[in-house]
Amino acid sequence: MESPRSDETGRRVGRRVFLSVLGAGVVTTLFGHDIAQTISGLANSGGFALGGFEIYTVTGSIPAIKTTTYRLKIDGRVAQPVELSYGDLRSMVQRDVTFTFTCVTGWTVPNTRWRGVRLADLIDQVRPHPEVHGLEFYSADGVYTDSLSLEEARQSNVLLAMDLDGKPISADHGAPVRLLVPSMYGYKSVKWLDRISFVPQQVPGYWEQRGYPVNATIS
Amino acid sequence: MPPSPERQHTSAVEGDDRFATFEKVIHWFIAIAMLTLLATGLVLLVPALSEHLPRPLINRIHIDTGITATIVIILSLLGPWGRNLRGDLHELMIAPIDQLNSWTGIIGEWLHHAAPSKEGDRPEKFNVGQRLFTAAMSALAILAVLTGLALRTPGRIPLSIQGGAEFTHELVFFIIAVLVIGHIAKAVASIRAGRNARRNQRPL
Repeated sequence: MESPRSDETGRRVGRRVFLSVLGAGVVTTLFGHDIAQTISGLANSGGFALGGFEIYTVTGSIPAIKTTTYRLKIDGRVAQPVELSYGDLRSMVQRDVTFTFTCVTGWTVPNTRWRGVRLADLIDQVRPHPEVHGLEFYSADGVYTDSLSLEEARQSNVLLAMDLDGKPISADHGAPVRLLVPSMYGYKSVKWLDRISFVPQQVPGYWEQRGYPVNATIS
Repeated sequence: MPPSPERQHTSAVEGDDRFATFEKVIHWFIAIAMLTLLATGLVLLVPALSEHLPRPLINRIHIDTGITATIVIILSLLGPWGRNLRGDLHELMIAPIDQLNSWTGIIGEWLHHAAPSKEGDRPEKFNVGQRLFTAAMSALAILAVLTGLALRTPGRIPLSIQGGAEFTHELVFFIIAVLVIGHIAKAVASIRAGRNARRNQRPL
């Protein structure tokens, strides 16, 4: 519906602004993934600093796990299943890894410093059976899971992380212990990790059952 | 020049009153909802804030406020109760702003003056700034709702689009924040706008 006056002298500026903004929004939705990665790339090159992590949870809640009661169960097809406390993990050799945390949605956080136990050390400790080709990781939220191949899990920079930037990781970041896979998108790095199971084949995790690729290697 | 049917109704029912009670209620509902969305959005966007607040509750408030506001706005525009609002929307979106001959004209007249179309005509209900603000905010609100829905349905749309939706949702957040701050600042600073709002009069 249009006022007759608009045809004579008027300019439909309101509608033009409305459609222009809507169109621009469609464009940024179609190309925003690439735009975000470009911006993050500029940040990583030292051009300017961007904010930090964005926090995700699939359950709508964040588990509050005390380090005093925390237990990490490692089971499945292994010669020596174990259950480790937070203190047990802290008493193991700690490794440092610094890398750019990359989310599959496009944002990144450069130069994040993590400290924890190398997963390869735990794999050696529990001694998986020969038929094992995958590891499943379970979150204490009771819903989230993900997996790695045994080869991926043995990468030297894959950690069970307990510190971020020199401090114990916060609940938002997966305290007290989270998986960390630097070569892959963040959805592989399971937060609030409370169980690792060794299985014959790699099993698609929470997001992978919903369309994300099982191989999350950052290209 | 005869006013549109919507304006005829508005004029007949409300006389010289600028806004009906229902319009004012909806305006303040949207204002409260928008401020709630911006405050909770800021907490969700900045981890340093969310670490000290109950993030799941903030997230729930953000989503529920967005859904509720969308439903209320749609319902407010439907049916006989929404006639005045539809009239406003028509005037804001479709009706012309005759004084705008160039973008310099927009800047020059920005916010302070009504937009009388011709000498002798009744003053327009909205000034230039209000028209542009509403047009931009309407589009941004639609984008926020659509991209927000996309974020709630991961895996059902391509990854690149989901990433783009998240980027757009956050970009829209910043733009809306700037516009709302500007809107409030202008409303507070403008003596004339405040007087007109209190008296419920059209700008002269």
